[in-house]
Amino acid sequence: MSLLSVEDLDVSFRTSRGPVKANEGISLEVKEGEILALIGETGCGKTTFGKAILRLLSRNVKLEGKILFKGRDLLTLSEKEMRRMRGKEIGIMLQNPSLSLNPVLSVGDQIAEIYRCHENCGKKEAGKKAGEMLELVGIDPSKKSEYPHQFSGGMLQRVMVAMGLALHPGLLIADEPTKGLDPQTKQQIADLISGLVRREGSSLLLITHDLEVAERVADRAAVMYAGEIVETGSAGEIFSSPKHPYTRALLESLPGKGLRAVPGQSPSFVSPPSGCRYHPRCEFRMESCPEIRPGLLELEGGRQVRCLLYEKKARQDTGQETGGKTQ
Amino acid sequence: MWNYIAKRLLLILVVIFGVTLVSFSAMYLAPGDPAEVIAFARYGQDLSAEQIEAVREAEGLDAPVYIQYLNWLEHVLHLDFGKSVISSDDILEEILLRLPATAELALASLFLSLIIAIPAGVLSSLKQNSLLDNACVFTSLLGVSIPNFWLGLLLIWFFALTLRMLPSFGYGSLENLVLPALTLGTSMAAVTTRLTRSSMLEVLKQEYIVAARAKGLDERTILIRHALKNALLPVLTFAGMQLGYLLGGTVIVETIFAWPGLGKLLVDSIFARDFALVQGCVLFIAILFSLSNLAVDILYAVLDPRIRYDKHD
Repeated sequence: MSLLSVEDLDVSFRTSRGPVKANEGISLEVKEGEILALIGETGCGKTTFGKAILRLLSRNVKLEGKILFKGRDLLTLSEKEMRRMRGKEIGIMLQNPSLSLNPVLSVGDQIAEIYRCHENCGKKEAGKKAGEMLELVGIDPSKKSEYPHQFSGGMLQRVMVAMGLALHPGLLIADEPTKGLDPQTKQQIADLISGLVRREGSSLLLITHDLEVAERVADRAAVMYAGEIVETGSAGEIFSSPKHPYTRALLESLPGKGLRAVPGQSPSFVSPPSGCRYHPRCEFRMESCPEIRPGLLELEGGRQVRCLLYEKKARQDTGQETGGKTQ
Repeated sequence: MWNYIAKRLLLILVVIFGVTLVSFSAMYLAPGDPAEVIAFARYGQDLSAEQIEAVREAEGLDAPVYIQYLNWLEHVLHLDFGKSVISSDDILEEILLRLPATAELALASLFLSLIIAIPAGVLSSLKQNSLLDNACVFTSLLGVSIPNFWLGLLLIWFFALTLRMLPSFGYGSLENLVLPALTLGTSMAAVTTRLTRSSMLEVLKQEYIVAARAKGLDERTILIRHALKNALLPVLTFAGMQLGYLLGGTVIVETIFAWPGLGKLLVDSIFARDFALVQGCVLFIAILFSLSNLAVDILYAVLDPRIRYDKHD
């Protein structure tokens, strides 16, 4: 059963040059107890998607579509109902802990306030629970009266894990939890998050540009490019036999697989390329790619891919028009 | 923390030493002969050259300038600021006599400015670009632009002359305090409102505010615990500097309202060419200014752990 089910989500920023869509037509599911990795280059709209789920984007952002969490559409909830969701039902670890933690409050207080707010705990009890949470993520509870600037990057990330999981939410969204860490710490943090999530039977939406981390912990993966999902499938399949040319290029950029950078630059959201958004950088570009906008095509085994190569194949196989809608 | 305070105190000593040098040499370089001023105060018109020379010798004014400076410094270190060359009153006594009036006005106007500025600035930032915000921005621009002497006269004209509600000058009762405090307080509030507003707007954009919201905290907690505590740090620095400046006496407002404070004492002593009194006033004001800055620095360290736990400590 799916815990989170996003249906046809559009996220558009109102700007002076008109609306800019940072996410377009996103449909994505996170099943119960599952770890889903959302991967893609920096600036492709992953973070926007993560924040959109909890409605944390600024007021000039318009959300359209459905975000169903346990069957309830989060976009129809009042701000007060939404507040009860945040932290309690869905926890989020925002990107960049050194900016996401308040510099003038001790780390213990920043965890404890979650209990004080949601569980009406007294100061003492909340402080005790915060200490337990710190211990759970591998920080000496006596450090709870210290301040963020006294912590290293890896320790800060652990504090973020403690905050995200403080109320044992059903879903944790982790935005780039391994960014800027050294390889060893990276693995430790990835294992810590996935370990705790698995132990609690929660689900995890892991937003990352780090393919190695995604491969290490994820059950399923979704690849995002220029605000669109271009491929989804089980993590094993995506990493062993990528379908979309962009996913292939991403994997080839890994140190163990050729270290070949994806050619070109990621497109701007203000004026995205016509047709398939990846066509200017694509090795397998066909004549029709700049003109036809490929839909998300269902393949066998629950895989999805947004590419004309496969639409053509599907048509040839069945001898008729099927599969992805062209917009 | 104690290291930090000790470090600040050392710095203040350096600053005050600098002030003694500057104030002493400024008076030495100013045109006019101090011996003549003293002699004039003692013997009146028709001074003979002998009288002036006698005074010069008696007061040690014939010694080389650095000796004069060191002599003065030695007295100052023993808290002896000397005597006024005009009235022969003890300078420190005179200053301490004037201090309460200045302190009263300073604290009252600072308090007034903060209770106007902080709520106004916060509301303004929370409702950015609303009618309320624009009204606040406009009013504070007006407040910054209106000079104190004009505002003071306007208030006297309205409250003292037209409504006959408040006295236009004098010192002693609470009623006397209202108009000068209002003059100073509102004009400071204008600047502080703008600072509070921009500081709040900056803080509200920070990622830790989003993070606080992501925890499900209510807006009031976010505002007070997460936003205000950060946003008021620059406001505090500014208020502390203003307090230092106010404690030095506000020449214009004290003059308009005949307020017997330090600012008025300093100006009167300058006009009378009472150089010893000028030196004493300048030094005393500099010490007050430094101490109020120290108080702010300490308060800042209490509120901001990044300063408290400076790695260099």
